[in-house]
Amino acid sequence: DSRMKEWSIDWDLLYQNYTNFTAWEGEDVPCFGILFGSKEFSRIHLPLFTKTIDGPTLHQMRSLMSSDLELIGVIKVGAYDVGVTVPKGGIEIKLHREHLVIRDSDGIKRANSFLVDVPGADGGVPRYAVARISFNVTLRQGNEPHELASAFEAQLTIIETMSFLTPDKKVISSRSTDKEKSPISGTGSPFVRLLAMQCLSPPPGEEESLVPIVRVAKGATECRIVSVPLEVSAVVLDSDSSLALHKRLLEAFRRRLDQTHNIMQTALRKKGASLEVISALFLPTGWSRHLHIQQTAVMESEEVGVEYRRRLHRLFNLPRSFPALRSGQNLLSSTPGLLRDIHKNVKNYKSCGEIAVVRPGYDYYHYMQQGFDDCQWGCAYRSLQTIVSWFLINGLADGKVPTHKEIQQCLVDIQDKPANFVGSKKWIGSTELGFVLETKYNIQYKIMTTNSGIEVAERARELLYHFKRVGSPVMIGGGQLAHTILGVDMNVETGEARFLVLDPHYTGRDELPAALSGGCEWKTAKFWQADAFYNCLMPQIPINVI
Amino acid sequence: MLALQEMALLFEKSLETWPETALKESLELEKKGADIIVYFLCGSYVADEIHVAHIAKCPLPDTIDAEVTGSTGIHNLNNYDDLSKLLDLDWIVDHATKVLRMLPGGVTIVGITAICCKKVFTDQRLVLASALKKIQNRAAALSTLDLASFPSRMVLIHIDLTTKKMQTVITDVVHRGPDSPSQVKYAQLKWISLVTRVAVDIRQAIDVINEDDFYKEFTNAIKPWATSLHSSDTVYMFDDEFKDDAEALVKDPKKMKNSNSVEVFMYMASASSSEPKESAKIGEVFEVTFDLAVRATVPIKSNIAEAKRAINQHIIRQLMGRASLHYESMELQEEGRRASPALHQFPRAATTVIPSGGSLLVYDFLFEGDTADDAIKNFNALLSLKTSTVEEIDELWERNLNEGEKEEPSLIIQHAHKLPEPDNSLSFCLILFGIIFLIIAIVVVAVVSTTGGS
Repeated sequence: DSRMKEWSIDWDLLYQNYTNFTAWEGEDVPCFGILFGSKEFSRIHLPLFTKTIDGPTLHQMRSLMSSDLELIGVIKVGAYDVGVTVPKGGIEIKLHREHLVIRDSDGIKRANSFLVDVPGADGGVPRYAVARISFNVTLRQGNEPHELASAFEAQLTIIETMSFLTPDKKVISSRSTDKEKSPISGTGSPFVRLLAMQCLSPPPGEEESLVPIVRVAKGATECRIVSVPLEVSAVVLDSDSSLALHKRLLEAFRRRLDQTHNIMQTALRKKGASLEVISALFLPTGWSRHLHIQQTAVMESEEVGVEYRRRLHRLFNLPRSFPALRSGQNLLSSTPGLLRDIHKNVKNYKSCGEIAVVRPGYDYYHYMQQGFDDCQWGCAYRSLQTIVSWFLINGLADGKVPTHKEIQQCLVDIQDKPANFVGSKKWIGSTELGFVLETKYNIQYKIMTTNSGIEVAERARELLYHFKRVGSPVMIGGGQLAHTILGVDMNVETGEARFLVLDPHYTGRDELPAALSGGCEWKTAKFWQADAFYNCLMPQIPINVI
Repeated sequence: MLALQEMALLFEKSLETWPETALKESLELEKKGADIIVYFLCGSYVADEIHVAHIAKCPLPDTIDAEVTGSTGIHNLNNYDDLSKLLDLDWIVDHATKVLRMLPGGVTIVGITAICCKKVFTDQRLVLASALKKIQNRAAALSTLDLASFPSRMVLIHIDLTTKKMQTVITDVVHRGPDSPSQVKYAQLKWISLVTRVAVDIRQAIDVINEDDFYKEFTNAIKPWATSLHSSDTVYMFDDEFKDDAEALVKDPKKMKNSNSVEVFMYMASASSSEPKESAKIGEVFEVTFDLAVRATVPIKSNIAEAKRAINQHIIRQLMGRASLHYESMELQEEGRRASPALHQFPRAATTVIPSGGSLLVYDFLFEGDTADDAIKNFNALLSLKTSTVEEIDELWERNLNEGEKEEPSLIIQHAHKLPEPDNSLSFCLILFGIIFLIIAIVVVAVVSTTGGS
């Protein structure tokens, strides 16, 4: 068709993925691209580069993707053969390696007139709906693979009867009509939890139904009984009808079942391997759709887990030296009720120079949370919790955010504090925070010591550098108070500096905008007391954690 | 909780002539020596009322000269007179159980009427009280597997053969207390049929029990599912709406003049567990597959909670009732039953409508060789109906397995009421697997038959 329809593409993601691809494979390796996206909306969501790909791998990739994404085309880079057939109605982007290296979007557009920029409104973090099912699989010894396949086949038929209940008891079902607007489209919340319900009442059929039947398998056998919980999410679009959303949810369940079945069949082949599977949901940086991963529960901590993640990083053009798929980054395991990346909500700030802020992915911890009264003494503990959350959410550490008691216990264990420190209301400072980070999470840190508040401002350049290169939140202690610095704004010429400060002393609710005005603001240098010593704890990121 | 004396007892209007007819019949039977005739009151509980839709006579023993042993301790009663003079508790309870199986969910035996002279009644009062308690107990087990509460107030009516006077009490057979006197009132009662279909496949490994008791094993196999059914996991939509438990099932009864049914959709939330878990056990794997057309029945003034209970009762009663019939029909198992796989086909449903009481559909269950004529016999014998033609029997609800299906290794995916998308690779793999399996099966059969012939 000479009047080809327009396809939108996110150029930043295209170049980011190419850069990550070359980090893994080398800069001169011949490659081609595969495009995943939505035919309905003519949108390329995920351009991926690869040296080579086979059918099963492509199928596996599809089963990990958001249910609205399909293979929609390819990218031909130079003269290198594309190893994938362009699907019907799909697209082929032709470009040269140079286009990617110098990020020449105009050049690519000239060569591929059907490409357009992603409209401003269509981007950012997608809204999504999450639903969970769980089912039991009973596997008799000696017949496990077949019975596992049967169980998944049965589950697949159950999925087809599934309806979903919204929190305000509206049903999203296959009986919905195309015209009926989905009850959760257009509502503000970034994600909606739906109740997945198996329909027990199929529509009355023409035929008589069968009498109740009971089949008893041959004799008593040793059985493995596995409970399989599946947490499934699908993207929610404002234009959704109930039927469209229902279809997308069912497709999501099909893909997750497919993936889970494969993983369990693989685990069955390994002697003694557990069949327990967990669900995880990730939104790698720059992506407009989630990546859904089912993995056996033990994978996370095992060497095999690292290998699995490395393979996925490579397959999906994820960074070579920064984690994207660690359990702390799993959106399904986020701590409910806490405000994440609150600084993103600071609006209308007028910069005085160059700004560098924290890399996203931390929760705001402050006084009085989790029903725990730590007013007047817990600010440094809370700052530490915020920092640890950043490491966990960014996949750079394992474990969980420590409680006050766990922090104290850690300091007692390393003999920094006496035994009666546990359960006390005693303050801690940047040194103690450093000890805990190192001991409990294997995180290295730097400490910047200053003699006065004025010196903090003078050394803003070091902080600027920290946020640019490392990006972790910084704890600052002094003048009997602890704060968390999330960013620096510095005018190199005048030396003027401002600090984006997260205040652990906030005691209000975890709601916007209250928490914002009370707990996260840009402060001038005067915020630091001139006559107090200050120590800045700057946690460093571990190398090559995937 | 309502005080017992506040319970109203309402009989369906068409039963107004029943006491007189029953008295006449009893007088006839008395002449033959039957001193006491027992009737089962079939009806429903709704709020603070008991509604009676139908009355069924507990049959008299038809084998007059047979040796009968009852739990009353009376043995070797060789004639009709002796037997009839002393109530046999087991006889009554067993027949009550047979009647219970035939009733839709929401309807149960709410009490007993005994027609006899005052002295016999006084003599047999304890037996009647025991019978009420046992019937309630059986009804609860049969209808809920004891997973949900079941009404414990039962009606005991004595009609004096001499004075023709009716005396009524309501007694709580579980939470003992003094009986409270009551009175029968007649009213135009209306029942609503709750129409739905429930198709389920259950696969469950159960602990092996020592005795060879299919009924017990079946109970264990369906118990986890039945537990979910009775929990908040189960969601009901009445006429396409979610309603609160306290809401009336029918908001405006006048609008229900031309209709006596409410359509229900049932869902089961399947997210009971959020953590993956693996365990091992030595067990016997049961695959239970059923597809029931549910016609639970409740008084029109019932609320949503009562309607939900009735549906659950219907499902459990249909399963357990048929399981017990099947179990009773099973011949003594030969040694080594457990060594081979077994297929159990439950009897199929046949229904008829009780003429009084509106839309009350009652059930009989027919084994493979049984016909509508057998259903007529059972309805008449156990529910005192006067069904005379096969046209009054609907036996097209369910079908038996055909010969081919009996050979299939598993029916667990019987109820694919919608097939997966054809482009799904998992289903493709499974279809492929199925085809390969079929080929292997054909080859195996061919080899076996060849071997057999040589």
